[in-house]
This record gives sequence, structure tokens and C-alpha cells, in this order.
Amino acid sequence: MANLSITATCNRNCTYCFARDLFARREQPIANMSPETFEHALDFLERSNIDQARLLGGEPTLHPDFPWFAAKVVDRGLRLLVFSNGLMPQAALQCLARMSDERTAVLVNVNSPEEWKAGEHEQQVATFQRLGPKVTLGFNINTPGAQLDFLLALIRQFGLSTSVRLGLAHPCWPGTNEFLHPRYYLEVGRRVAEFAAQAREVGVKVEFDCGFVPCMFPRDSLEILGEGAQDLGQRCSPVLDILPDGQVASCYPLASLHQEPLPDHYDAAWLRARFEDRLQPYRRVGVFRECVACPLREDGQCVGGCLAASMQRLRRTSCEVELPQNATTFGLRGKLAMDEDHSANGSSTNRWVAPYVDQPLAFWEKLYQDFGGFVKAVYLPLPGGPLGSGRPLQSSEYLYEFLRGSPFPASVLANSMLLPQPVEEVAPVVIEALRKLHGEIGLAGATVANLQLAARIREALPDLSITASVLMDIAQPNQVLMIEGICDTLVPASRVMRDLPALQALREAFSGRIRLIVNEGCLAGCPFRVQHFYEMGGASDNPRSLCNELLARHPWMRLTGAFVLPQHLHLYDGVYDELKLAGRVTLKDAEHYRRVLGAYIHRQPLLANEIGAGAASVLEPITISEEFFTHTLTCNRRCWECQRCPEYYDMARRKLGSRRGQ
Amino acid sequence: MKPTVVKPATYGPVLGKWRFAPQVTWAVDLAGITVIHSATGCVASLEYHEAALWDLLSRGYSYDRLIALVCAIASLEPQDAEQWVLTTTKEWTEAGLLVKVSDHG
Repeated sequence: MANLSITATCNRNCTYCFARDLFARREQPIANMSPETFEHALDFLERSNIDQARLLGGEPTLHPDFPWFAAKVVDRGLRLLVFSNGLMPQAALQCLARMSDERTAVLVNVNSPEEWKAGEHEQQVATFQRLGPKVTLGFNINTPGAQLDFLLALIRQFGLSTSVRLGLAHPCWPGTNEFLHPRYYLEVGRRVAEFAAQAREVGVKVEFDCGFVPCMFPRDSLEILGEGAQDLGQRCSPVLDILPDGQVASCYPLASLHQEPLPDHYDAAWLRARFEDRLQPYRRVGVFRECVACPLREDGQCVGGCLAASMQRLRRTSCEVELPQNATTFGLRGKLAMDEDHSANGSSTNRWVAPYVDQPLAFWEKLYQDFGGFVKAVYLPLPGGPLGSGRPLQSSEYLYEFLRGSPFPASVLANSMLLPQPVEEVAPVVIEALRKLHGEIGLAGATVANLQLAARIREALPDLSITASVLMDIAQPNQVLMIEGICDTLVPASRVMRDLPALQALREAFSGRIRLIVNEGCLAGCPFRVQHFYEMGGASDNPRSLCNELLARHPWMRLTGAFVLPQHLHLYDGVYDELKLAGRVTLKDAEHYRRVLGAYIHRQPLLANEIGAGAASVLEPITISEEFFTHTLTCNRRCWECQRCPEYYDMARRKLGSRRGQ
Repeated sequence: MKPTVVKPATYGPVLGKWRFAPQVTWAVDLAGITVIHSATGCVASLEYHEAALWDLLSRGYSYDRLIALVCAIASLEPQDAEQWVLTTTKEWTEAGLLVKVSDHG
């Protein structure tokens, strides 16, 4: 068996389409297969003793030369199978209608009636009426609630072939199509078994595409499923999809993993072996955690389901560990070792968490190539919206693409200042959402602002790392006691970000990790901060900065905000374990994001207006000297009697003005 | 059951910083963790203690925290835990699953 994908063009836009991602990418530049490639592909089939040409797309009947291609198949003495959506041009319809019923079949993939677009079903009906028993209906199950009964009604109404082909909507690796998650397999299996029983009563045979697993069906139903269910668990092997440009993929869902050119001399068995070699390591992973110990798998009755679905369980982590110089003295090093660890400097303690911004997967892959070893996790709002993230909703077009394919681990923000309901009602929803994400993508952690919620998450998900949000406003050592045992990581209050002694005191008091936010722009102890976050968390339709008037009166206060520039980061060595880059809103621009993250990681200088620190930060490109910054870290905050910051600000602005004047 | 502690006689004095190889992906299974190196095709099935160590590494714990947790998980004394961690990470390095991080300064 091998499929000839003769065109990338399609006149339907199914959300579960396995081919859409591939054809949307530039790597598949040829839309229509050339006659030469087609002939080459037919040679390959003949050489491989394959007696059927299976044409698919896109929508294969949209290929301008479809009638010629179909005739060529017949001329070669091959049987023809066309995978179509039934929305075919008249020329193709006439061509297929003229061909022999014995040698020609058309598998028409239909969607659920609720997904039919205007005019779509009418056009499919015209196809059914014209082609009658040549048509076998196909249906890709993409939701657990899919209703299948309508297929039997269509067969009866139009006298179609008395078999139905069912498929599962598989994920493309690492694409963005909607797919049926294996957690729904049991429910789908029950529905399919019920449908098979109904179908049998009216003489319709159910056939199964690849990726079904025996364990998804009720124990006593395999007999009901009939002949079509024989070797049902073993159908994940390289089917060979020959693409319009002559490249061959193992199958559409894995087309991004590896492709081979259509060989001139070798046959399908040779090509399958090449793919299988490549795929073999991944075969160890099944669609479920339990697959590894499944007796059906052990005795060869099941391969563990669709490989592309199995690969969705794979994680990629950019961890880093520093092994010490002397490996055998831990017991002696004791407290001293801990002190050394805390005071280690430079990039050895650069463990960054970076913001999710709505960029395509390619952005994250490149970022991983450049900074993978430095970034511990990318944080994002808890998907699905059970709880706010402390900020207004941001764009999430690429979010699920990121979650499925990002090389970076994800951590989530569950840090709204305001819970939408009492914690007893909110916590189970949040915990369930976290549990699912943790199972699916191996969540790196959650940042929580509500201590009661954090305690419940800790109890329910003891393995999940919990970070006390900056919004807990922990600034003093006595507060640390309140979160010990619940939170693994602490983000100190922004008001102590410019207070090294206070950070040191927190460092000594807290047994977990200290994470500092490097580019938050809020003023230390700003009287509007609580209100602002309350409003951003959903209490206002139009949350906006509230400190404009205050800053108009004291513009120099911008210099005292809770930020540190990359070139001054070394001044904090010893008081942190991890660093967080803020900027889900301010660093949306991909280039800006990369530049700022790179500068912080490598401690390359930036101006204060470049770090994406928001409205209260320094907005002009003025220079902040290390000497001045150091002063702000240890001064006694007696701002009412000190002129150092106002004078520095005026001087810096004057210098800026003269530079601009030149 | 405790893991077997092999004394690493040939360990050099300076080990440095290590991370998972970029081509490495892994999945949590019922019996532990399956680690796959996509470039070499190397597959490692890590069972209880090794899986725990891999998981701890993936969480980015500091070395000392790592050792403390391994002590608790595997019921080992600190020195034995440390040696076991180092032996195991050495094996993983030889298998290409861990790589040394270049000195970025």
C-alpha cells in the first residue's frame, strides 16, 4: 500500500486535517504533482507489486489533470482508489462515473452533519447519486461525542457501498491540527462498538483505519466489530505517502519528522524499512503510559496506537545541573556547600523563566537553539481560563502549537489577585486543569498568588513545583514561614527588588528557591499597585496604569523601580536561584524579546527603556551607571531628605538632551 | 530496594555543568521513564531510581537539593547518593543523553 498525494489544494478546511500543516509550510512548495512524478510513482507501485493506486490530496479531484491521472492508472492495469471529500469538479465526477465499478472506488470522507457548510452536503449528494456503490463513506472521529448514525442513513438513501471506514483524527507531529486525544479513546471505543452493532444489523461492514487500539473497546465487543477489527491494534506502519513533489513521508502525521525521495530503483519494502529504522526508537512509547507494560503489546497484538499520538507524550526539557568539583565530600561540605551554592555567580545560576508571547513554534525552536540551556521554563496563563493570570487576556493563536511542540517546558500562572469564586469551588477546577496539563506536557510548575489555593494544589499535586507569586507581596523573613511547606520557589515583593539586605534576609530565611523578576517597572511600594493588579485581574473593563500623575510630580522615581539592567545583574549574585523575565505584554515583538532575553542571559548592557519594563519604568534612553544603581540597592530610602535620585535623573536627562542636540 | 552504588574510581576532579542533549526527548511511562535520543536512536528505559533522578534533573534542582532528595528516595547516605548520582550521570553522558555545556562565561 502507498498513497499518491497528487495535489496540496483542497476545497474544505477541516480542523483535524493531517495534511494542512504540511502543505501550509514552505517545505512543500509544489501544489500539484507533475505527470512525470506521477509516472515515476506508478513505476514505484509496479516495482513494489502494489496493484492499487490510491490518490489523495488535498482534494485529488482538484488536480487539473485528474482525468488524465485516473486514465493512466487504468492503462497500467492498476485498480484505482480515490480519497475525496466528495466536493469534486464535474470533469472528475464524469471521469469516475465512466470507470468500471470493479476497478474503481471512491472513499468519500464526510464530516458530522453539524459541521456541514452551506451547499457542501448538496454537492456531496450529487456525487453520491452519480457514483452510487463506487462510494465508500469514511469518517474521521475528531471528538469524543461524534455521532455516527447518519452514515448508515446516507448509505441506505443513496445506495452506497455497504462498508464504512472509520478513522481517528491523529495529531500531526509537531503540528497544530485538532486531534482526538487518547484520553477519549475509551469513550470513542464504546460509541464505535455501539455503532458497529447497529451497522451489522443493516448489513454494513465497519472497517478501521490506522491507530485504533484494542483496549479502547469494551471487553466483549471485539466480536461485534467483525472482520474489520482483525489486527486492529497493529496498524501503525509506514503507509508511504508520496507527496506532490516526489518526496515520500512515512505518513502525513509524521511527514515533518522525516522524508525520503521517491527511489528510482528500490521498492516499497525497502523504503518502509528505512522509515521504520528511523521510527523504531519512538515505538517504545505508546499512546498511554500503561502501554509499556501491556500484555497485548508484548505478544504483538498491539503496537501502542498511532505513533504520532504517542509522540505527543514526549517531553523536551532544557535542564542544567552543575556537578561539583569534588564528588565525594558532600557530607563534609554540609552547610558550607549550601552557602557556596547560594553565592555562586554568573551564568551558573542563570536559570531563567521567560514569558510566553504569541509567536509561532519556529520562534521557540530558534530561541531554544540559542538559549535552551539557560531557560528553565516558559510561563503562560493557565489555558482554558479557569483562573486569571493577573493580566488582561492576551492573544493565544499559537498557544496550543506551543504547548504541543515547544522544546521549552511550560509553567503556568494561576495568580489572579481575585478568585472568581470561593477557593473551595475554584481549587478543584484549577487542580484538574493543572493535572491534565501536567500529564500531557509535563508541566514545569505553577505560580500562585493565593496561598489557600497553593496549599490545595500542593496537597493534590505534590510533584508539581509551586511558586509564590510576587503578588503574595513577601518582603520580610517572617512571611517566609507562612509559605514554607507549600511553595518551592518564592518571588519576593517588587518593593524589595532594590533592597539587597532585604533580599539577603529572605534568602537566609527561605529553604526553597528565590526567583527575582529582572524587568518589572513598578515603583517600590507604589500605593497604586494593589489596585492596579486588582483591576487587571478582571475587576475593571479598562485596566490602566494609575501612577501617571505621581510620576509627573516625581519623574526621578522611575529610576527606583523594581528593575535591574543586565549589566548590573552581577550585583545580585548570591541572593537568587532563578531569574524571571517579565514581558508577556511588553515583549510581544519577537526581535525585541530575543534581544532582551539574550542581553540578560549574557549580561550585555541595555538601556532602561529597552527592557520592556512597562509604563512606570524609565521611558527615555538615559544611562544608569553602576555606581548610581549600587547606591539604590543599599540606600536607606530616606527619599524625603535625599536628592541623589532627582539630581541623577536631571543630569541624565540633560546629557540626553545634549546628545540629541548634537 | 536501594540502587547499587559503584565507586567511580576514574572520575576527574572537575566535572562542570551538564544538560540533557538537545536531541533527547522523554516520556513518563507506567514503569518509569523512556528516554529517546533522536539522532542516535538510543533508547533508555529508566526504572524507579534512575527515573526519579532524571525527573529531578529535569526540574532543575541544585546539586545539593538533588542529593538530598536522592538520599530520601533511595534510602542512601549522602556520600553513597552522591556517588550513585555521579556514576549514573556518567553513564548517561557516555550514552549521549547528557552533554557538557560549553563555557558561556
